[in-house]
Amino acid sequence: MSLHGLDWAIVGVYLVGCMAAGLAMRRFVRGVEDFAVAARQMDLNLGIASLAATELGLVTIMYTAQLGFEKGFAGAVVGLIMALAMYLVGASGFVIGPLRRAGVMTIPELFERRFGVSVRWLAGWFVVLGGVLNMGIFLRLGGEFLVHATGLPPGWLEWVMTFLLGLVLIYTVLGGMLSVLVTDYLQFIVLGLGIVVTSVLVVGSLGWTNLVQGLREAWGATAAGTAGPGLAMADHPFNPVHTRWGYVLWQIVFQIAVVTTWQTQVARVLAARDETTARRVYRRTAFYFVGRFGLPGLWGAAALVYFSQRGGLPAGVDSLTAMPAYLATLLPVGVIGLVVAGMLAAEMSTDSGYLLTWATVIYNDLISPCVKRPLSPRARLLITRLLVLAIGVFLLVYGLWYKIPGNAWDYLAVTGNIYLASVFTLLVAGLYWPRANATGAYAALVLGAIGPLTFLVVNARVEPAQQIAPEVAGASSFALAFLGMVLGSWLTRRPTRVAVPSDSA
Amino acid sequence: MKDPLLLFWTALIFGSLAWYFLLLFYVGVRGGKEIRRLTRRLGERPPLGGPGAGTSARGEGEARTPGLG
Repeated sequence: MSLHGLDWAIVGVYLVGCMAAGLAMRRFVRGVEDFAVAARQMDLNLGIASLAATELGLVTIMYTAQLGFEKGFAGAVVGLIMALAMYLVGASGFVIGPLRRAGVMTIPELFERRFGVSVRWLAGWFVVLGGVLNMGIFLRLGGEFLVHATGLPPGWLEWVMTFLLGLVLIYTVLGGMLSVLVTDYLQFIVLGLGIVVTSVLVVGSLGWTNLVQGLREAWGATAAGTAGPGLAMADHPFNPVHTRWGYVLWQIVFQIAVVTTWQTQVARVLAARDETTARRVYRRTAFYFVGRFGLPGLWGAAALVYFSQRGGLPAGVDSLTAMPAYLATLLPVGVIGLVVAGMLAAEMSTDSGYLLTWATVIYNDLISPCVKRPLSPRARLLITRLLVLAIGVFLLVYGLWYKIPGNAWDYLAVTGNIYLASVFTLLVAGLYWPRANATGAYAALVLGAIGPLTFLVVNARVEPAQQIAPEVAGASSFALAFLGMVLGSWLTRRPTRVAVPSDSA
Repeated sequence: MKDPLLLFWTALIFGSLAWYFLLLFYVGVRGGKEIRRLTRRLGERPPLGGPGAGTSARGEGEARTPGLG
C-alpha cells in the first residue's frame, strides 16, 4: 500500500499548518524564561494538550503496540499504573507542588538551593545523559513505523526522519516552549483524531468477539507450544499478574518516579501559571495515559490475531513492526493520510518537547553555574537555541545514521533508570526530609548509578536464562540510591540549609 | 464475556476511546481560546528595557520562593 494524492495533501496541510503556527510564536520570545517555560503563562487545557502530545510519541506507539502484540490487553497495565500515579500526584501535589512554588526552570536548579551548586551540576549531568541517550532511539523507531505503514522504500527512512527533525528544529530553535505549546495543541488534535479513527477501524474490521477469541487461541497455542514463528505470547493476554507480580509492583514505584521526576513532564508543571493549574493538568491528563498504552496495545493485539489467522507473520516483520504492517492492510485512502499525519504529529511533538527540555537543562544546570559573570539575556537565549540545534544534530548522527549495536538497547534502558532512581531520591529527600544533606545526595547519585551499571555488566556476561530481571535491576537501583541518601546524611553533619517550601507562595 | 478480567479490559479500552474522543473537542475548543489569551497577554507586555520591564539579578524575572535554601 502507498499514499495517494489525497493522503499526501492531508500530510502536507498538517505540516504547513504546524510550521506556520510554530514560527508565529517566535516574535514573543524575549528571554530564556519565555523560551524555556513559556513565560509561565500556560493554562489548563493547553497544558493537557502539551503534556499528552509530548508524552505520546511515535516511539511510545511502537513500544506499546509491541506490548499488546506480546501480552494482549494485559500489556496496558503499565498505562493504568501510570494514570493512577499521575492522578494521585496531581491530587496530592506530591513533589510537583513544591517544585512549582520554587519557581525553578529545571529540577537540578532546586538541588542547588538544598544541597549546593556541585550537586546541581552533577545531577544535571545525570539528567542530560539519561534524557538525551534515551531519546536516541526515537527517530529510528518512528521511521520504522512510517516505512511499514506507508510502504515507503526502507532506504528513505533516514531522509524522511532527517527532514522531519529539520522542521521540528526550525520552530523549536526559534520559538522555544511558546512554539512547542502551540504546535503541541495542533498535534494533540491531529494525533487524537488519528488514534480514534484507527481504533474504531481496528475493532470494526476484526470484530471485538473475534479479537478476544483470537487472543485466547494465541495464548492457548503458546501454552501448548504450537504457536507459529514469532506469534508466541509472552504472558497471559488478560491477566497482568499471571506470572510477574514483581514486575507490576516495580512499575508502581517506577511510574511514580516518572511522573514526578522525568524532566519533560515536569517542564509542563514549571510552565504552568501556578501550582493549582499544574496539579489540575496532571489530574485531567491522567486517564489519557490509559489510552496511551491501551489503544496502540489494542492495535498490536489485533495485529497478532490478524496474522495468526492468516498463516503467520510476513517476511521481515516481527513483534515490533507487526502493528504498522497490519495497519497498512487496513486503512483506506484518505484515512491513511490522516493516520500518518497523526503519527508525524506524535513524533514531532515529542521531539520538540524533548529537545527543548534537555537543552534547557544543559544551559541552566551545566553551563550557567560555571559562568562567573552574568550573561546578557540575548547571549543566554542564543546559547540555549544553539544547544537545541546541537542536540538535534547529535540525535541525527547517534540515533539515525549511526546503527546502534544490539546491546545498546539495554544500555539506554539502564541509563534512564540511573537518572530516575538518583534524581527521584534527591527530590523526595530534598523536599521532605530535613536531615538530608549534600553528602547523602552525592552518595545517592553514585550508588544509583553503580547498581544499574553492575547489572548491565553482569547481564552482558551470563546466559539469558541467568540474567537479572529488569524489575530486580530497577528496584535495586532505587533501593541503593535511597540507602546512599539515608546513610550519607545520617553519618555526616546536619545540613546548614533546609528547604521548607512556602505554601503561601 | 463472563471473565471479570476481560470485562475490565473491555471497559477500560472503550472508556479510553470515549475519553480521547471527548478530549478532542473539549481541549480543542478550550485550548484554542487559551492560545488566543496567551498571545494577547504576551503581546501586551511592556517592551524590553521600558518601564516595568526590569529583570532580577538572575536575569529572567521570577521572584524566588523565600525559604528555599
